[in-house]
Amino acid sequence: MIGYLKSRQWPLYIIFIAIFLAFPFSLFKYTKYILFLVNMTAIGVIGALGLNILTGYTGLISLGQAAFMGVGAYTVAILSTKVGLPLWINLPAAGVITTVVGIIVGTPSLRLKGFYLAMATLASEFLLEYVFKNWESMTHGIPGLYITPPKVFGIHINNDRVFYFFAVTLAILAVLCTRNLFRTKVGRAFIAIRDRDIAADLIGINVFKYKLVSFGVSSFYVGVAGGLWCYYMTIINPEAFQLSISIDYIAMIIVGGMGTIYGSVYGSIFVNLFPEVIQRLMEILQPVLHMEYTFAAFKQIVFGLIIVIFLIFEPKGLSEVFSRLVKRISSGGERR
Amino acid sequence: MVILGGLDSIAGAVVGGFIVGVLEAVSGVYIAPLLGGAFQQVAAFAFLLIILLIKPYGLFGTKEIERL
Repeated sequence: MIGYLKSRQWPLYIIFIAIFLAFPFSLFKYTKYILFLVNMTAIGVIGALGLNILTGYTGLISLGQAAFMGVGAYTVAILSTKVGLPLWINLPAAGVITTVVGIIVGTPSLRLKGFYLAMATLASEFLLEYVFKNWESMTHGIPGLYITPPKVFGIHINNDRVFYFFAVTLAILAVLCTRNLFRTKVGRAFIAIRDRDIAADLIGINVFKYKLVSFGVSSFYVGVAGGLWCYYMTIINPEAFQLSISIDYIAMIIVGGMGTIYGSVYGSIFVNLFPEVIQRLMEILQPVLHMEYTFAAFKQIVFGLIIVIFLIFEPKGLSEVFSRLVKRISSGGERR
Repeated sequence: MVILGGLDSIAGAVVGGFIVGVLEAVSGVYIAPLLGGAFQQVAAFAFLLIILLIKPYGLFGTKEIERL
């Protein structure tokens, strides 16, 4: 949506930046909780961007998202507790190691298509989860690892507010990097592989190489998101990286819009904030409706229903809804 | 298990189920002490991965013809 604003609307940019900078310092009662949600959304944006590069732009369906986040998180945890490296080595290292794991997991994609590739990545995800639980010497098994909050340039990142600035900056950086990626030869090769990979091979795009590069780049984003998750939660265990996280991310990119960058942003906002909105709505409506027993499950029911409704009526996701809205507003009264 | 046998073949589903069952039981006894932990839960997935690398459409599946 930001791409549709023209540059003479700089007051709007100033307002956005002011809200971004001033918001964590407000004294509103729920600020800490909203900060928590915004931090989770920022981590989700980076992860969803990775998945969107892989599934939305290259067409390789992957259910192994949770395992890659786990690899990133465990890398950060192991490097910062056992070896004691600082943050500016840990996060890139998490990305690099997840890239290597992602390329290994992605090699079946050279032979498998569609549904079978989803099954192969699902198998890799369960295998990686098994590795997390049983490689006791490195990952400390089921009890998990805990880390002390890191220091960046002397600022101690140990509360929501500082992490907010750090995470949202990284999320904005990730969006800009992805936007640039799809202006280069590599990005266009990804889109070609999604559309018709046989034709792409005929034209001369090295499908073999670019599929592996796609897995690698996507896994870098997801590994960094996993590392941020570890720094935020400061305690990780294998139970945090189950299949439901992978499904959450796929829901994010489907609802947000599969082949678009801002789709990842909208999808992450939707998946992280919408259940909370439903919860608050139910709390407000509860005296009116007198449904104490089913009220707790409403969050899940409505969330699932909305995803199904999106798939039926708006398969291109929220980004398509917003771009249509902007077109309708900006074209004014012109009807053709 | 159905994917192991191939999505469009009934004999494949039967064979796939049989293989998964036997493999889980056997790996629980012989391989688990080597690799530690509950390997038998993931044995089926590991085997699926290996089979999908060798035969991309499952053991008895038919190859999908792709047209441009």
